[in-house]
Amino acid sequence: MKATFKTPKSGKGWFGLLGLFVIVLLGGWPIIPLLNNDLIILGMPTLMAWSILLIILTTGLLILLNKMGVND
Amino acid sequence: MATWIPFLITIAYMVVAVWLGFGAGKGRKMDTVEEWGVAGRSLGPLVMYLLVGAGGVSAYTFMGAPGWAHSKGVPALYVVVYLTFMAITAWYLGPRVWELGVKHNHVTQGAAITHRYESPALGALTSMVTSIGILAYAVIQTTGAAYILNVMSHGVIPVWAGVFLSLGVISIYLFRSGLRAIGITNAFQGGLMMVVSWAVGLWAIFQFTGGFSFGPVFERVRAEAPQFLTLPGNLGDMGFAFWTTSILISMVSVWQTHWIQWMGADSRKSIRTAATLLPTFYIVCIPMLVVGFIGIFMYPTIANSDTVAIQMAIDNMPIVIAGLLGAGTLAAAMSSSEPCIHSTALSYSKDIIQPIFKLSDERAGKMTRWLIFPIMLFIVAPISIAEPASLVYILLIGYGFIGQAMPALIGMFFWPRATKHGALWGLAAGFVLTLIFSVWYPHPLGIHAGIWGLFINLPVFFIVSLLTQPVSRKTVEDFFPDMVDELYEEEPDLANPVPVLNMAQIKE
Repeated sequence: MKATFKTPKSGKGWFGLLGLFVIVLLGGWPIIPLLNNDLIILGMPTLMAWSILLIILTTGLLILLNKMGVND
Repeated sequence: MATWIPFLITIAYMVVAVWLGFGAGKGRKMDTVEEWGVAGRSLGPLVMYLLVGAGGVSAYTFMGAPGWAHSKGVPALYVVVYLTFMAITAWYLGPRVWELGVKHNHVTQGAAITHRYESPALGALTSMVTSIGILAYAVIQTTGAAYILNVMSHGVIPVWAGVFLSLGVISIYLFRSGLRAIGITNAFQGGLMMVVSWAVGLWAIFQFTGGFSFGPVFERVRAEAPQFLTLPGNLGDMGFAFWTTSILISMVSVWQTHWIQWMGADSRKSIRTAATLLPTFYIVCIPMLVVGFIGIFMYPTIANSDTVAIQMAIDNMPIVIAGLLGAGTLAAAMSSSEPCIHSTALSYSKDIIQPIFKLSDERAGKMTRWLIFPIMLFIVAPISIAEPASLVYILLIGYGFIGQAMPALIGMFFWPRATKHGALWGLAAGFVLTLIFSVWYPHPLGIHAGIWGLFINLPVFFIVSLLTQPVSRKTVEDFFPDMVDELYEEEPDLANPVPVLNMAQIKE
């Protein structure tokens, strides 16, 4: 028996995987150190504004992937 | 009399929860695992959204999150990020888990592991050990519920009585209606949490600044205590590595409760839709975090930061809002503990007791819901009342272990070559390292102990799997039907090549 991994079978699938990977990167190292300052953005600390942006980006990406038929 | 209004609001919440939860199972026969355990796989996307969302937002949101903001500052936001990323896991794995469950009649994670690795022992072991973390979580939520009842009743309800009261309320509707009760009460609790979080947050901001903008709160924090606005935070204990690895280990930890909740969906699409929108639920954390930041100035010397929101509500807010905060916190605690008790009963019944005593599905189905009583009475209640100091350790180990099941899930969905020996030895190695780095040498180099566990777990899982016999072709076909041809394709035997005949030889 071969030791092959199950991978996405289409370009859409790879796009989805890459998109999710990028989102996860945006929430941790190496992006967070770049945002680690005491600026107030839209009345909030930078990291709070960024956390809310991550909520929006994650939801947006998942909506897009649903529309593309990824993970059907 | 007015001082008792918050308590009455809190009690009114419990009455409504019982009424909703008890009614959820009306007209249904709850003596089957399919009905009591996974609500006949009937939950639509809206209930799934509130079920998973409210289950994820525990008493931590109303007590711990403002507490962390009060003591540490922005490190508390890692919770918002990890909850958001857990929605990605639910979106990716949830539909797959549901489909496998429907196809092969799995309900629990242990059942799927038993099937995939052809090992009931591995399934039972997974059930037993993951339940440590899940029950520790239920204990912490029950303790939180008892604390709220104690505060709201001005000490009339002692902690031990609060434990029995909150568990007693849960048991009424959980026994009667199973996952349907959790679905409907979590929907109610989720809605209540959203209202309460914003009402308390906006009231606190208005009282502190005279307006409804967050800006003046954080301008003052920046002017007087800027260390609260950046990592590693006021206490200096949340560096970039710990922030990142805490999020990652939480993201890859698939709880038994989540697994069973996914099973309750009426379709793949319902899980996907609920998971897609799930991150928006966690906005609920933001106003309560702002309350914690306000507490930095209003209660600079409070003994326990976790009580800052409730103290602020009692001291300064209208009695209705204080009562709503009590009800909201209780809702958060109960909505998080009841899925833990439910899933543990289900898992013990299906993954441990049924295989050991070779019970029929019918018999196991009848027994399952009765198990909530011994679990509550002999495990959750006494530990909640005793509040052992080591509970945090139990929880840390539990979290670490749940994360260590990740390679076994890789073998279930992405790697057909994984074997039971690989999963078992990887799990054991990862668990031991997580234990060491949780208790004796906490989080070396600022990296979460669970991630250290995976550093050893994953290589052991892959190497041992490659060295041991794969599962049968039938099982591979069950889990990877689209890969079978590719996996079992004949490989050329270079040692004994098939002779190629030329035309002259053929004629001979």
